[in-house]
Amino acid sequence: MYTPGMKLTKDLVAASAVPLILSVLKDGESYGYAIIQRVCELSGGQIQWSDGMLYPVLHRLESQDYIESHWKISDSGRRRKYYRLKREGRKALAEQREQWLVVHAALAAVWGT
Amino acid sequence: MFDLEQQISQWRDATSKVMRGQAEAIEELENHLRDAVERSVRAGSTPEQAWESALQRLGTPEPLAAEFRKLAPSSPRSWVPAQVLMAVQGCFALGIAWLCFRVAGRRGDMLLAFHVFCVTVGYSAMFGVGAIVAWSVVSRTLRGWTDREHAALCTTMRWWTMGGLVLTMLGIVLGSVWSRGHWGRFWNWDVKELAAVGQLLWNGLVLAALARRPRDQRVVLLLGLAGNLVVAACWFGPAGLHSDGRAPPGLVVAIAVLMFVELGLVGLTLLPKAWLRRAG
Repeated sequence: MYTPGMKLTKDLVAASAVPLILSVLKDGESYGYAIIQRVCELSGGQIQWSDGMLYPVLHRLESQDYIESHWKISDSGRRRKYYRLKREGRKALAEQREQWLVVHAALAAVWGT
Repeated sequence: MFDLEQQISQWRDATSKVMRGQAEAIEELENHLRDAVERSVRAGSTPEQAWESALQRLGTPEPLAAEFRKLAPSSPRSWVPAQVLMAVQGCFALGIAWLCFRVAGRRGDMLLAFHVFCVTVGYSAMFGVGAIVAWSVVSRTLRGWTDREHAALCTTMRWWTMGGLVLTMLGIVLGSVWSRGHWGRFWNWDVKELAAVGQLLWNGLVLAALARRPRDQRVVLLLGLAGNLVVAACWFGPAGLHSDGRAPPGLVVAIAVLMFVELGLVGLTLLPKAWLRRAG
């Protein structure tokens, strides 16, 4: 359970970035700012990314063939870069999910929660 | 009076100075800033407060640029080693074309010229793969290796191997047609024919391995290094042997040097990760 106002460590935020991004994109295509908002919302405001750092991660995931991007005109009339999950990304997400569940189960067992 | 467009323009200028050649990423970041400002203004902030807050959350351009610099281009078109390889391979292909068709013009045997051109350029493509992998191994050891560089290497290897496969296959077919016309048979079980088939099989193996996207980067590097030995054996083996089957001393020395260099590169590839420099 989160302590209100608790700040996650930098390492934990960094380690969870990829599974979080892939999980958000599993629900459908999205763009940088919306991904950040969604993660903030999902974590109840506990996970706060440095906004600029998201983009190199997105670009890296794209180069790994996990996601793909395309530009399209948004409702506001501006060109916006959208990302969507690829088949390789789904596979990577499934693997990450398994790994995080193992960690979660181990911690839950040792802490008796 | 606060002018958002002017602020964005100044931010864009400052960011462009440290993120050269990354116009798309800058546009994406600018969009992010605009989204953040719009949202804050809707929530009740003044445009000035919204801009300051968005800027603070995005971070200053220098650390951002440093993060983007770690992402070397993954497309071979924008990866310098691939560009060099393309230029060298292009010059080699032009040189071989000139030589083949000059000789063919004198002898009046264009089919043979096409066959020699296809096989030679096809084989050399695999040496190109070996060369770029050798460069990658050294680069990875001395200055570190990023995921994007590895992705660029894999894409380059895939294209070159595919090109080598198509040209070698075409060369075999043309050679068979030529053989039918001159020796009466399409296939003679000649050592050069068998070597070409061996080369084809190797190209297929490399493509199959790359399609599986090996997780360990070393698998790709070792595959590329092994390709040097395969193409050397398939190309210079049959072409270099004397008619009595003995290898001339020059060929033995060349193969010994190649083996020595390859062993060194394999050693570098297998170094523990902790011994390698980290990229960025």
